[in-house]
Amino acid sequence: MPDEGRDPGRSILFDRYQNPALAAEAREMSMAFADYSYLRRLSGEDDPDRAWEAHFAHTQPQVRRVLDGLLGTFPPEERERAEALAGSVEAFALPSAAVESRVFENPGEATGYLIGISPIAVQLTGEIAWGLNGAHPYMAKALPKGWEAATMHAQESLALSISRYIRDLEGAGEGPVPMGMLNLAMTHPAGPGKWSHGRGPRDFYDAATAFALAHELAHIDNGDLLPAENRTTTALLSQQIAPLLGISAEENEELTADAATFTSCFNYFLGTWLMLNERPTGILGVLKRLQWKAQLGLTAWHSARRATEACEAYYSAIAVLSDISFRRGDDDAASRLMTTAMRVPFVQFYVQRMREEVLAPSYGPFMWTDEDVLYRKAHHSWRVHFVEDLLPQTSRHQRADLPDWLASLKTPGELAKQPEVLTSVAADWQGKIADLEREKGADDAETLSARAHVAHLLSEAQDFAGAVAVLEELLVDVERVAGADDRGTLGIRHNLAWLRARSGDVAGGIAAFRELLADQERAFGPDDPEVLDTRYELAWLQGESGDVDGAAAAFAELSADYERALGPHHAATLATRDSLAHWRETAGDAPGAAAASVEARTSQYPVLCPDHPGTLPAYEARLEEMERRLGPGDPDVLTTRWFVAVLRGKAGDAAGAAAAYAGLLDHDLRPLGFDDEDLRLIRDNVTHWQGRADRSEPTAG
Amino acid sequence: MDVVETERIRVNVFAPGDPESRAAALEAFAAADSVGKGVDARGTVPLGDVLLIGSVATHALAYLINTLRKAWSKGVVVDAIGRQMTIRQDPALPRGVVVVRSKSGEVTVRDGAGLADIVGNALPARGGDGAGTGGSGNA
Repeated sequence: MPDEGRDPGRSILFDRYQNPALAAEAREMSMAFADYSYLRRLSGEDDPDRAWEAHFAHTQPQVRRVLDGLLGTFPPEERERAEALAGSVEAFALPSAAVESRVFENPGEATGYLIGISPIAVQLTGEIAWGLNGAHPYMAKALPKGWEAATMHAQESLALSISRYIRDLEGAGEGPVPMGMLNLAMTHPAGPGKWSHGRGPRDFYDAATAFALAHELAHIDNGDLLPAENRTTTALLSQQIAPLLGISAEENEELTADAATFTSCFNYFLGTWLMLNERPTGILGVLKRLQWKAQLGLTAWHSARRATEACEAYYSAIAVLSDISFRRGDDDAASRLMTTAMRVPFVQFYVQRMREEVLAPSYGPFMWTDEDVLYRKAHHSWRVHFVEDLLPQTSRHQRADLPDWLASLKTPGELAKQPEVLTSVAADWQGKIADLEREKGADDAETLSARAHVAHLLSEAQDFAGAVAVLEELLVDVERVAGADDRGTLGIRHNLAWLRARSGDVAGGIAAFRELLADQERAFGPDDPEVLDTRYELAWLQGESGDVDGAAAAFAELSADYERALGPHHAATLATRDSLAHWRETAGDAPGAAAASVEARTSQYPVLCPDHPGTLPAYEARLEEMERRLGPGDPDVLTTRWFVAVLRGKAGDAAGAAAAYAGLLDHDLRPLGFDDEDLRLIRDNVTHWQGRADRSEPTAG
Repeated sequence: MDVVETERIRVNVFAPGDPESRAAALEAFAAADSVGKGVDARGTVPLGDVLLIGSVATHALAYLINTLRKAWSKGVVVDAIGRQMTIRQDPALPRGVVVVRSKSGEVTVRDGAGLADIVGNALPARGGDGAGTGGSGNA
């Protein structure tokens, strides 16, 4: 762990309210979790007691500082609660390589709770958040010319740093405890003073620590450690939805605690800024107040970003740790970690909603923008890249089997689409419709919309006949209430046509869509999204009817129209390009299909993230240019070559990956921090990729 | 009547999270004439273990460990390096194996024979400060 760093004098809660007896027992309890081989590697101290003492003395102030900050920035109306927690909660860094932070009631004499946070999970979370912050500029278009080179350097450093970290973690027990870029940045001579509030490396570390602490504080606050009847909180997922998604009550509590971390972390950064920057007062302070307000908005924006990044990075870290456990053969830990990593969509949804619906109205629309959407996509791309590309190519353990628990694991999205789940949700909605009819009337827009939703759920559950029955009755009512040309009426006709085709009556579906298209064009004009959607279905059915070339041509035309009407990044535009690729491929036009697929991914992912099709070519050009300028053995060139090797493997260029790895072996790789084990792995990669190239299996590894 | 006070030591047992292993650990404490106090916890990741804390007579330690050795599905690690003794299952070790770690090194035991001597030797010399033999946190 890094040094304690600055303390801006955040709050005095602990000074006033701390329970010394609980603090002393926390110290004793910390010993119960001690792994002395870990402590010896960390401190270099052979005497176990001294090693533990050093660890506790070093880490405790850091953990306490963040816990104090979290409690000190509770909203004013929860001040009493914060004071009570300051006297009843103690926290420490677990003196081990445990990947789980934990909270429990103190088993000793003093009343209160103890929190032990996992230094490994915190460190990796901070490393990923810090690394990605440099590897993906938030607003690249606002940066000076040449930002790409700096970004690529940052990406190479991130990948190398994470791969080193993974390798060191895998060798736990043999080598030193891993240290990463974040540690280096925190101990840099330039010091923390050069960073604005909430933007320095220590802030990323604090955000990761705050995530772990806030999660456990939420458990205490929600009463999750008490008997079930004493629990007070409202779970993130409703009692109706959670069981349908296979989420137990305990897992729902974990989700609720995860979601709570965002607000706590946001309050922590913004609140500690407010402690140091009081709002100017007085009749002459108008200008200063305006400046203060602008600073407040900027700080709120950075606070929201740090809190979001900590969430995203935490799940990436857990996914990486799960994969490491799996490769080691520890299926139990891998499964527990993977279960946690798969919570991410629920928490992302919550965070986005908080930023859009709570923070944006308070601070401004900049609290959630398209840049945030792109940043999330970049982070997702890297999360997958770590697990699917980097780990397989850098891990010392290779494992090809697929145990039952992993094969049967379903993502939240997959769970939500199971027919039994959808049917059950539809039945739930039927009950709501009865309530709506009673409270608002049968012809109310909300009632009619609920009936359409039931039809949608039934069709998703493959109950096409049930969905058609609901929609045919609904069409009569909506047409009577809203008229024949109303969007709702035409939308129901669209869905009925689609269901007819899906039920097997393709010709009937095409006829219904053609009739609908004429009415929609007359009512809305040719560039209306719903007109385009109908054309999309017609083009698809054209292909299914056997006119593959016609479908490809129709999708080419549609793709241009969607882009003109909705923009290149819109989900409908991207889906149309994917369909264009599909029908071109079906028609035997492989180059055309590849071009359409590349075009779709170009708009789907931010520039230079691992899944963007322009990323590998950009690095190939960078490698060539650097090699010419610096020579093939320069450490920077070797780093780029290593990164290119990984990207070529990802892209399915097995021969290229083998060549890039082989090229590394011609040089001294010690400046990159590579040891004999790394060299063995590079040789293994040469063999692996060359074997794949020889077998002509052009798929990613 | 003279009362001979038996030295007792705090033992932290991290039992695997499944109910059978936890029950087995509680029974092992009982068999060693002690009570393992369960410390129910919640984790950022679902926890794979549950901590039981008990105060065990030094002469009963080997019995406790041997009971766990026979009950748990994987090997057992006894960590007597620090001021508190910790016992946990190690999934990397085969069932029935006990690894005892102390300041003087590491000893692997494959059956109950000799466990008492090895555990006895592993116990650090206790000073007069009572560290690890009672005090706060003891059940």
